[in-house]
Amino acid sequence: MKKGGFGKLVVLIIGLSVFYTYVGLYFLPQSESLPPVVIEIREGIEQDELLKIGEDILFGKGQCMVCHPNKPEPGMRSPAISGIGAVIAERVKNMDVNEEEFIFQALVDTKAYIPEGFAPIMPPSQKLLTEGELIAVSAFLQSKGSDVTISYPESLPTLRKLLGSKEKKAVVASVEIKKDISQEELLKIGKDMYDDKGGCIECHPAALDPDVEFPILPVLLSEVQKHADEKGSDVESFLFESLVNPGAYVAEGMDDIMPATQDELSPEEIIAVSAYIQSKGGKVTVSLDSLPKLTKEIEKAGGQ
Amino acid sequence: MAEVSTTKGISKGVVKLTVLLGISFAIILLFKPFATEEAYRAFPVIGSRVWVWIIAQLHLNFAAFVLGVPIFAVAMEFIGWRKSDERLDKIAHDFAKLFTVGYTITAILGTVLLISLPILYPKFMEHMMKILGPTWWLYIVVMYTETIIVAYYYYSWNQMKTEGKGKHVFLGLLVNLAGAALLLITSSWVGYMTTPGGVSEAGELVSRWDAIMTYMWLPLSLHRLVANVVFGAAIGAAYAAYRFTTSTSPEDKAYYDWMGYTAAMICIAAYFILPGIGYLLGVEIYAFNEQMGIQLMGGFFAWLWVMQAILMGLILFFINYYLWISLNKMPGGERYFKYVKLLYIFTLLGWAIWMTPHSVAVSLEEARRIGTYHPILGNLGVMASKNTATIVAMLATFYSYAIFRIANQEPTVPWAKTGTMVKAAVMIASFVGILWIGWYSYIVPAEFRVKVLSTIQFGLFFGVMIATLVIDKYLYKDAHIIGEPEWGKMPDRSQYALIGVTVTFTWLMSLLGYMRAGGRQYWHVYGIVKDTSPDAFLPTHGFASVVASITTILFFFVVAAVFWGIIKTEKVPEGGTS
Repeated sequence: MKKGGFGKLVVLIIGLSVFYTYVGLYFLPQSESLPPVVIEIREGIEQDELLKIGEDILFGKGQCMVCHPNKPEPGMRSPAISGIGAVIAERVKNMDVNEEEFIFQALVDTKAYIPEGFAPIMPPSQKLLTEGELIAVSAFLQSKGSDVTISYPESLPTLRKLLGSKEKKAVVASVEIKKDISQEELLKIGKDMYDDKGGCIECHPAALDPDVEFPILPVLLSEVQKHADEKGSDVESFLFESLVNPGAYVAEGMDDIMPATQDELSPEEIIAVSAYIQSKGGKVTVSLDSLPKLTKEIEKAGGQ
Repeated sequence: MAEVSTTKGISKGVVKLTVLLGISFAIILLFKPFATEEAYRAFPVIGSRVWVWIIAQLHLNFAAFVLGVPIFAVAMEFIGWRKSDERLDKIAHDFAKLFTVGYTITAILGTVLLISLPILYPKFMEHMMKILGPTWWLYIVVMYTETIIVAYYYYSWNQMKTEGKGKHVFLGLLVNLAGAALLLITSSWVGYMTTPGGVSEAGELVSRWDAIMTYMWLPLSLHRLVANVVFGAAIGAAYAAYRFTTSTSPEDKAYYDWMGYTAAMICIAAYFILPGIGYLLGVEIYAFNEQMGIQLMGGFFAWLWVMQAILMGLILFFINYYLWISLNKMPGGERYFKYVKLLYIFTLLGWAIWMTPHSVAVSLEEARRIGTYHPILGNLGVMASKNTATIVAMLATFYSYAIFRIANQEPTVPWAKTGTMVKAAVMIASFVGILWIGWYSYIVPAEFRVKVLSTIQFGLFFGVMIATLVIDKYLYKDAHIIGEPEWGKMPDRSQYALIGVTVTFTWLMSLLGYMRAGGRQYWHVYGIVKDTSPDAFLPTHGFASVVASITTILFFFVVAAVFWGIIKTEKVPEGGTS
């Protein structure tokens, strides 16, 4: 066997690897891709600052520029950003919506206004951006060729209306809950409602999540217990009130953003969710027999 | 290598696997990973992510090797058996020797991974077990089955060489079927993590079959299957190249030259299919989630595709260089030297365009300062030109091979001149067609380019290759042989080119493995299980390159040990034990 072959092999392997590392280190841009963070947008923010935030989101967190080129180019995947405000202003002239509604709709219900020649490839922006961030991006888009009418928090009601109607489209049919249902089955339905139809899990996840500031599922009942004691109410009534009239009692440091549950769930389903929440921290007392108490809370809230 | 009885070989394999699984379960039970509220545990010094990254990639490299090599080893054994070609049987046996040793190392690395994941990522693994747990138990059953068949296949080689060869080839087929089953099971895990299905938004199981049959499952399996053949053949070629450079006898040199050539051509033939299947995989990812597809192809990873182009182009150059040198061993090969310059220019041009970035700006600030796109180069950095450039470079490589095949022959059929002209016409027409599609792709919507034009372009590429091979088959029937190939008459540098292919492909596998996993961004299971660990970010490209290099060097360190072990056992005297 000839000597020296192994040494040359080692040199070749290490030499090539070092060369490729060199290219990776010195010929490619060096930046990290961090998880998106919530950008704080305070009430009464100056328009210039809002537009700047919108631009940053467009290039960064929103990843809009991956598909939308700054200027029109042949074979572009999605419309160019430059002049998009003017294009929208022209388009809404023959429509029943104003520019603000059009832009919000295009961001949250992305298949609503697909321009000719483009495929419906855009994902819904509300999955990635907060309400404030959506407004900032919308204002920046409008600024590209039109007068900016979108502002924060003035545009929030319009956006929320659209978000609400978008959410409602996804609501599934009510689940039939029979009177003789076992507690086990009731809790199972409650979990389904909590996770899916009710969407409770998005703000109250099952485990700690650094992006979420609201109480997580395992501590919900103890929070309810604490605030019920403060208010001098029984736990069951307070729990129902929190679900159907969440604005009635907002814990210190929290925003009043929770929607009323009866808009999405039937009374029986609310009972199931309440039982499920109770099951995560104590003895389950809620059952279909609690329906009169719940109905009372709904009536108090001004509902059906 | 000294003989070991089939029964003893099978027992050894089963015992090894059982011991490794026993160790895994014992350690896992000791640490009780699932009985903790902690979502993560930290691995000392390098951190959990880098540790799992390196171990998983090493395990994947060896798994790719032991799943890829049997495919062409069995094919060679079959052809050798039907054509009574002793040389093919020997090469198939040599490959079987390589993958049999490779199995043990794959299993050891798999054991380390099996221990690491639940201990370092308990909550994530708890979720994976909840959703896909039964597939893991199936995986163990298939592993045992494969171990038994592989041992039976390898250790019965000489015993069944003269009698029962057909049965032995059938055993080889079973090895491949078991390998494919393992591949499908493991791809379902990766597929679920990247393009999950069959679960509610909260991560509760709705349908286990849907969790297995995700968007990514089959295209990923197919892509891995072909990549495994490329990789296995590349390792085979590197082994042959090393043996060639260290051999002293002309017989050994001739044999290992031929083995290296055969393995390298299998490698490059499968390599040609990879971009097409990669395209299919990309389409499925886009179908699952546009944003993930865009992020992978044009977002954060855009520059790593430039790196990928550099590496893939280099592989083509290594192969071309090897084939151009190989013309020297073909009597009459000098007649084709004049085409080498042309092939070089086409490969170089294709490579240069392939690695041109769309935007040279590396940050928003830079884009504002110098503009996002270069007025000329910006037009070359898009899919329309890159697809075209890739195909041109690969086509030039194919013609290097096509020339080598016929370099020592002269056609004798009466229609030889017409045949050669037809072949040239096919080549020119296809080439013009490929370029025209490249130009036309600029002015049509992206969807039409992706779904229609790219398919036609790749179709033309495969069409011209098939047409050339078919024409040659008849054109060179009963051809005048100027002289037999002088196997072994190759300089050592040609063999280093083959080793270069293997090192580069290994590095490429590490890079693309990282990109595939990185496509999930800050999710363990995309959209279902969020990564909340301190490592929930994508590192810089430089950092990823360092890890890819460490993995590659470690891999070759172990491969060298395998080669060394095989060479050592060959020296054991008759009657000794291996």
